[in-house]
Amino acid sequence: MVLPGSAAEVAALLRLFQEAEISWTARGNGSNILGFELDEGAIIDLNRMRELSFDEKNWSVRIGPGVSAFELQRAAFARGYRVHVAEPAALVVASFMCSGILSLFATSYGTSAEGVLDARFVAPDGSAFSMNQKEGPNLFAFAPAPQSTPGICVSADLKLHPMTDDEEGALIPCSTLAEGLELARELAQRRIGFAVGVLGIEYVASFMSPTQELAGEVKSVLADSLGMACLVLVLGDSYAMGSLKQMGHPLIDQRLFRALSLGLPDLASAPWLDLLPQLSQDEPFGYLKAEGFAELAETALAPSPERLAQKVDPELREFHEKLYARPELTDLVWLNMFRITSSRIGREKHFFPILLYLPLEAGLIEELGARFQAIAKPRGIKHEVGFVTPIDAGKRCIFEYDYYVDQCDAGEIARVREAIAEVAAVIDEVGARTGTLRWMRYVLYQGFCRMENLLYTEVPRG
Amino acid sequence: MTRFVLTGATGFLGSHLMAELLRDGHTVVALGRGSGESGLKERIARQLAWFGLDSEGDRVHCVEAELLKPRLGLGQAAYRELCSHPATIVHLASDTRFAPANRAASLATNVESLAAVLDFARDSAAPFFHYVSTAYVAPADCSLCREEPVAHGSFANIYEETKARAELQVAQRCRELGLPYSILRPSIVYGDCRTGRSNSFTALYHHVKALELIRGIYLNDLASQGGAKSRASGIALGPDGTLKLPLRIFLPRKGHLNLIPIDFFVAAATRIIAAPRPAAIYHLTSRTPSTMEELALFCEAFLGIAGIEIRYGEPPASLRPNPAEALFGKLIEPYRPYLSDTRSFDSTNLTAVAPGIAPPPLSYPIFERCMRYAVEVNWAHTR
Ligand SMILES: Cc1cc2nc3c(=O)[nH]c(=O)nc-3n(C[C@H](O)[C@H](O)[C@H](O)COP(=O)(O)OP(=O)(O)OC[C@H]3O[C@@H](n4cnc5c(N)ncnc54)[C@H](O)[C@@H]3O)c2cc1C
Ligand SMILES: NC(=O)c1ccc[n+]([C@@H]2O[C@H](COP(=O)([O-])OP(=O)(O)OC[C@H]3O[C@@H](n4cnc5c(N)ncnc54)[C@H](OP(=O)(O)O)[C@@H]3O)[C@@H](O)[C@H]2O)c1
Repeated sequence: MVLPGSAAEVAALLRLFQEAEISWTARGNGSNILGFELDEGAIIDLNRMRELSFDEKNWSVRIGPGVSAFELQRAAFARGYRVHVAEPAALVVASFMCSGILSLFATSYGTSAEGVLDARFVAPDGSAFSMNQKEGPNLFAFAPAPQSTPGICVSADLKLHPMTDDEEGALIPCSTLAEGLELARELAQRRIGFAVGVLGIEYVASFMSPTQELAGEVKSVLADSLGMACLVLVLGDSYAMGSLKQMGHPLIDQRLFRALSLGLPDLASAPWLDLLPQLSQDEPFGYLKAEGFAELAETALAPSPERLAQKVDPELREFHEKLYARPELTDLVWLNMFRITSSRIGREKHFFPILLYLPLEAGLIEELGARFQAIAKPRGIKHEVGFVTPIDAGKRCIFEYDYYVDQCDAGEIARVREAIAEVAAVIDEVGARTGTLRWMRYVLYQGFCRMENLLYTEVPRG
Repeated sequence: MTRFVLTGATGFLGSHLMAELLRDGHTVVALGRGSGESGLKERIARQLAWFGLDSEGDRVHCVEAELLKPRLGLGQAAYRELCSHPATIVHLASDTRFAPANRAASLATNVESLAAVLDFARDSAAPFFHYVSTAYVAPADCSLCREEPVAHGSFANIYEETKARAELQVAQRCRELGLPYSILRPSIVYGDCRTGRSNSFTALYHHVKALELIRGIYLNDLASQGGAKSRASGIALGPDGTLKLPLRIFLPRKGHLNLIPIDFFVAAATRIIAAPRPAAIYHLTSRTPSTMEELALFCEAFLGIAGIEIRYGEPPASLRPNPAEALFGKLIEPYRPYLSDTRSFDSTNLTAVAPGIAPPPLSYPIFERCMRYAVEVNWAHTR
């Protein structure tokens, strides 16, 4: 295991390893879910390379491969900018190498190379190249097939995005997944909101709840008692929020989200909860449009950090009280830009995400979802829709479907392996039929590719 | 013993009619859709169990069908078999939601489905076709509505509009087919006035349920959270335990709610069916509709609350509804047009076939009996 401190040291190492025929693998934080950061030979851990410097006049920030998503976002945020990053613990460069950045912000910030201005690499032979040079490896290209690593990324210049002071989040509940998908597509097409995503109920429940037990209760309240099939999360400025209301959608706005988040302990036992859906059969979730509904929810749930902390283990209570007293922890924009949204998923079991880029068509997504479900169900594998995020004005989307696997259970691991092989066959079949499907499996080492090459370049059929 | 085909037998009115026909010794074919997890048979069995009619099962036949498809979505053989036993048809299936967002579904269920249902009546040589409509197909400005074909008018919602269109289509198509038909127009139906029982809790119940929900939130706030939020909205507990809950309901004009109990509907409908008169239209309505003030008092007495105020005219521009008022207003929105209704209904035709059958005025004891039952079963629909 080696920990280089500079690009020159990386170059020296790669030359040495080539001469000595030692294989190597780069490692960021080691938390990618598919396990690509451990292999035979040397592990090159990049955590010491922590350059972080802003070039604000060019809307650019340069980072070393040891900078984490949280560190970078915090530094950018302090200067009034936002960057596009993955979950907080991931090293940003590793995310690019591995998958590109997957988040709801892809709606406006795009994916893969869309987030990058330039990046510098050391090739396996120790030579240096950058993305913005006339000759050299073409990292902008995308091929729908497994690739070998182009080398080690030693620094990247990422885009800074502006923010406004009226940003807010809202969740729109939907009774069917198709409804949520259509809404997300419409919002992206009309460019309402800068981050949009259709979230599965498991995903939302995990996201909101500090404990696994509470997540289970929340899931049952949202899905069974209130009849929600999914929620569309929208982040936007006050004009976007105005548009959502004008479009007539029932909203869980920022205030109500806070009340629900801090009032979770009373939510599951609320006696009036079953009555709400009965009373709004004409217009599901119409009650959310009542002026003052958030205040009523506050009256009903008595939300507070102390109340919520009652639900965690006694030794964690004080910490949680302090934590949830911070407004960020219930602020949809903050939680999403720091990608806390996804960091709680997989708390119960390891999760294996099936990630696809495809057209934002309800029929296609439902077909795939149904087939992934049909593969998982008979094998007793826990399975759920993760999220769907529109990209490129809703012409395409990112679709995550999750399988959950207990890594200590050899039988379950074997069943998931078998299931994934079937999933691959389904993706190949549907991909060949439609010519529009891109599987994330092939994005490994191609995360810097041009977004259009990934999304639209014709894939050989059959 | 007669054979009947019923659509909508899983619903409120349909299940009651089915039960009564079975009790009278008739055979019933329930024509309906499978839904989600449970099939038609299972849902009909659930309804029959609620009526204590489990053992009558052999005189009920369930046919899972799609009313929107030709031949009711059945295969050739199944359709032929169904048509081979002529039966009186009572068509109750309906989308009973009011919201404009449900326009397409309402049109499909309430109007477009008539094509296949009436084809079936023709193909099975049905002796009679009864269509269950609503009293509210009459124009809102009509003070005394007659048992006559609908005139085109403006409607309060998509439900009324589609029911009116359906009536016209039924009449026209039945005339073309030479099929005798009648139209039954109930007003707003609640549970059994004698026992209080019901298996559906919409309409009248909806308002009480909404109030119960709001009351529960504030009682809990006062009892276990210090009640600061309640006090901020002027909500407090009186010395006798009554919850003071200021709730202003603004209505454009004074009106009344025409409510009938389900037992009256069943009694009237079975009389009509027993002695069918071609092309007759019947109002199944109350001659003593309830005023909003009466109903507000009933709700207050039943729920132990005080403070409901019915006001007439436009709400003042300065009005800032408290959260309870805002939610209540939102929840009862679909029913608003009915709260200031001024129509009364002539029921000469009904009186002629069912003399002596009339709904009782909705008194507090009846109201209380019905609501007590609803609360006992926790507003649990059997559907
Ligand atoms: C709970 C959870 C939630 C997640 N949520 C999201 C999310 O919301 N959005 C999202 O985009 N992803 C998400 N991920 C995926 C995760 O962010 C990525 O897998 C990310 O790559 C992990 O970063 P890491 O630093 O741990 O990478 P590692 O696992 O260390 O490395 C990832 C890959 O990149 C290679 N690599 C690392 N650094 C370099 C380098 N400098 N040069 C060349 N190759 C390199 C490694 O060899 C490996 O193949 C989530 C993962 C988990 C476990
Ligand atoms: N209740 C009242 O106060 C009242 C007043 C006046 C008139 N009416 C009329 O009385 C009739 C019955 O009303 P209700 O209160 O009993 O209604 P309900 O309880 O809502 O029941 C509706 C019935 O229609 C069926 N249905 C709905 N859509 C259907 C479709 N697409 N295909 C097949 N079946 C469908 C339902 O079947 P599922 O179980 O499969 O959903 C159910 O059996 C309606 O025609 C209504 O207009 C009722």
